[in-house]
Amino acid sequence: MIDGSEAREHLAMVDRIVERTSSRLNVGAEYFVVWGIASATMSLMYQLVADRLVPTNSVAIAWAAGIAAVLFSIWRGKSVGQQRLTFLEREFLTVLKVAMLVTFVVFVIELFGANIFGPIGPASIWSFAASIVVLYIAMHGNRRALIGGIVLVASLAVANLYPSFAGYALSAGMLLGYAGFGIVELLAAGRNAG
Amino acid sequence: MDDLLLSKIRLAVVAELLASEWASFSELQKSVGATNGNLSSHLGKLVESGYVEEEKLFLDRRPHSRYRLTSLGRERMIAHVRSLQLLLEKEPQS
Repeated sequence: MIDGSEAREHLAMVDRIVERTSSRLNVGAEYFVVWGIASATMSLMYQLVADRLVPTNSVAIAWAAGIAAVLFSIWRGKSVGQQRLTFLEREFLTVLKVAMLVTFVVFVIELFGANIFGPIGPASIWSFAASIVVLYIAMHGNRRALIGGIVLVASLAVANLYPSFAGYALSAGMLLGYAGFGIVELLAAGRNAG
Repeated sequence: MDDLLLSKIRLAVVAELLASEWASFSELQKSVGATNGNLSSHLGKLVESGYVEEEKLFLDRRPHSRYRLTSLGRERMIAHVRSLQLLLEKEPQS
């Protein structure tokens, strides 16, 4: 057993460590910002092309955004390394792998003209996966993630109700619910560090 | 009170891991400030008791160990901190 003064000393030490390390909980939020913006750009460009508001070759912007996000993830992964992986990073990467695989399969199916999922199928699946990861984080007591998840689910509902505006709805959902969540997390990390 | 967490080094290790998914041996050593052998021994006890999970991997062809807190470790840590707080509450004010 320990006495009161030792207990006080132990608690003070735990407080110091928790205070110092709590900012790490927000590490990984930049993935959400980058992928949120890239996904929003992709959905928006495809919708603008479908609505003939921009030339067809503008789809290249969507691809560039996707490639930029992939390159960022590779660079970020290498710079951080495998030594320390935070909760946000782990959840993000797990869902990213699954969502990328499923989206790729859907994309290939659509490419061959099967049209099973509709023209906005890959983007919908991507948003659905994004809402799962954000809501999973919310389950661990993160209210900001809860709001982000609700926004993403709402964007999916709107996209489903108004298919002709699906790209705009999904784009807004990714921008507000996913990138927005990442930005708020980064701001929270800044506050913790300060 | 949790006997295993009465050690200051083990308590510090578990507190460090609370906010991390994984932390390497060198990171823990840096933050806890224990010697190599001392930290190994404490980590061994935490791993053996199921409070901490150990993973051995190769990074740049060099062996590395990384650690993370298990659900059991997290539960025991919370209970331990609560019992420390209770001890202080019961203590007569000086």
